Amino acid sequence: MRRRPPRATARIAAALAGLTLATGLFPAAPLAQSTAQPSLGTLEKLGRALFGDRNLSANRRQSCVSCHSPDLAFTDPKELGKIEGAVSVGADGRSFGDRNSPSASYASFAPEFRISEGGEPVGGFFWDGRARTLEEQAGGPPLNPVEMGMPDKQSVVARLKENPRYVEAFPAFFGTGVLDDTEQAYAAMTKAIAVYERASDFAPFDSKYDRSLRGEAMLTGAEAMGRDLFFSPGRGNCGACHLSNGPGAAEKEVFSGFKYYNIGTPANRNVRALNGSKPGFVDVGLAANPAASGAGHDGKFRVPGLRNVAITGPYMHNGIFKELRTVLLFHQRLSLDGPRINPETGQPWDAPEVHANLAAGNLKAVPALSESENAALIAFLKTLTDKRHERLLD
Amino acid sequence: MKHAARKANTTTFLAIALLGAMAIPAAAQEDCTGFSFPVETEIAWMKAADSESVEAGAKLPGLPAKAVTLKLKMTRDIALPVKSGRKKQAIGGGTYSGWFEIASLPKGGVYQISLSHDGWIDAAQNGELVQSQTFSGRPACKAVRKSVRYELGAGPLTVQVAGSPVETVKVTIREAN
Repeated sequence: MRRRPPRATARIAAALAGLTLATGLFPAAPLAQSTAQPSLGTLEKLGRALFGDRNLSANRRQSCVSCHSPDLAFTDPKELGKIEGAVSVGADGRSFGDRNSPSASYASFAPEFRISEGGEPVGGFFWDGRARTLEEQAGGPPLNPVEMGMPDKQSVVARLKENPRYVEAFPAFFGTGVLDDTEQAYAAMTKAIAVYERASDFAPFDSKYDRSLRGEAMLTGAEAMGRDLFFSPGRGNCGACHLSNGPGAAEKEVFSGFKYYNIGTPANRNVRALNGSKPGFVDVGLAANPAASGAGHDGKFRVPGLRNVAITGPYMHNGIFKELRTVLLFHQRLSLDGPRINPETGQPWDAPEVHANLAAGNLKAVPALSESENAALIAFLKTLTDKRHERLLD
Repeated sequence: MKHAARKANTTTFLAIALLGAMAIPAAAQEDCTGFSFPVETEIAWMKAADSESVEAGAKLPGLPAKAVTLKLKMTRDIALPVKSGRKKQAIGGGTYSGWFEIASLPKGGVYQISLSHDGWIDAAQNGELVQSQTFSGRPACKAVRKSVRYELGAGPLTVQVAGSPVETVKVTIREAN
């Protein structure tokens, strides 16, 4: 047996090394099953560690994962008894917010908050867009008294310094001394979390709908009918508010135009009774955002994306509706022959929490659909579920 | 010149052939890195052939020093001893759920319960769910999908699994390092 000349072997090694660098097929680190404390060798890994770190909450009992579980499309899986999953509980185990924890999946696709040329607020994070960027959003929950409850940025940075892996990783990514400057350290933490939230874990684009666009799956008759209704301006007209790439199906669509509307969502009295809200409190939504303040924005909330919508109820900014069908009927209630009864209560729809700025024109333009059309629309919305969560669909 | 070109072509061919041979297993290889606490013991137990097979609802006398292979039932056909506390869509109707009991934990402390597949783990004592201390999971790890730590007291323990896509899962429980 002839042995390969050493130079040829070396050339093969060099060629493979080149391919490694070019394709990333062969990571520099071995693919061994080492489960020692993970290296935070990339900003994404650092962000993942921070995202799951309960030490960043006041009593060390809550992390981002607590309300944004990867096992439920980065939403809160907890039902919380009488709260019925409408809102989340804080780290202290007894504080409840007033708004539903939105899914963090595909959240990074929202554009930065801005006022459009037409003077219309667009994009941003949280239901009222008060965080301009994903980084700003990541910095919110640790300091929110009804969420992770840390008193200030300095205390958060002190917690970062407790972790030797962070002490090693932060200077490596953000420069020597970064943890000695509270503002810089806090900004670095939010940057790392945002990098993780932009990773493919959060946006695999592998739903049945995505696969159908790529010719890898075929929608059923009902799903296809629902898709056509969704995109049809004359029927479902959902695309009027729930498309970011213009009319028609497009790859990597996240199903929100990221604009703000008041569609007349009633107050969630059940939550208000349990979360200690002061009597008469009104959630004015966008109007409370300093970057968009004004009476013209009372009651407006950002249009949510619809990826994984079938498994991420309860719905609306305050989690008032449990079922997707209820949400569809609610959108159709102002059309001429639209549904007048909330199927979850058996009563007429409650009045909007904020009457001003009601998008009545838009809502009247939503035609009432037949029962079979609504069922088809739901079947289509289920196809927007990431592959790993498809087992949860009934 | 011709000779050099042929050598270069041969080298490139060999490199590509080697690349092809290595790419398939590399792509299929699981990645169990990145857990936020050690799970080496869990991986070893999950992969060992000596797991203890039990049906949903089984009662074990003590803490098993190996994996428990738990046969689940359709979620819609089973009532867990303690309500899971999760939203119904987090569990799904078409999934599998089940539980087993350990008659007595020998002592209190922090325990690590791990699951081989997707699904929710709950620990319950005295008829109530125990709040988890910390969690770590890796979808790319075939042996241990997730691991959850609980501070448990000595005495009886119920380990519940809900929302699994498969009928049979492996579970490990041991005192955390």
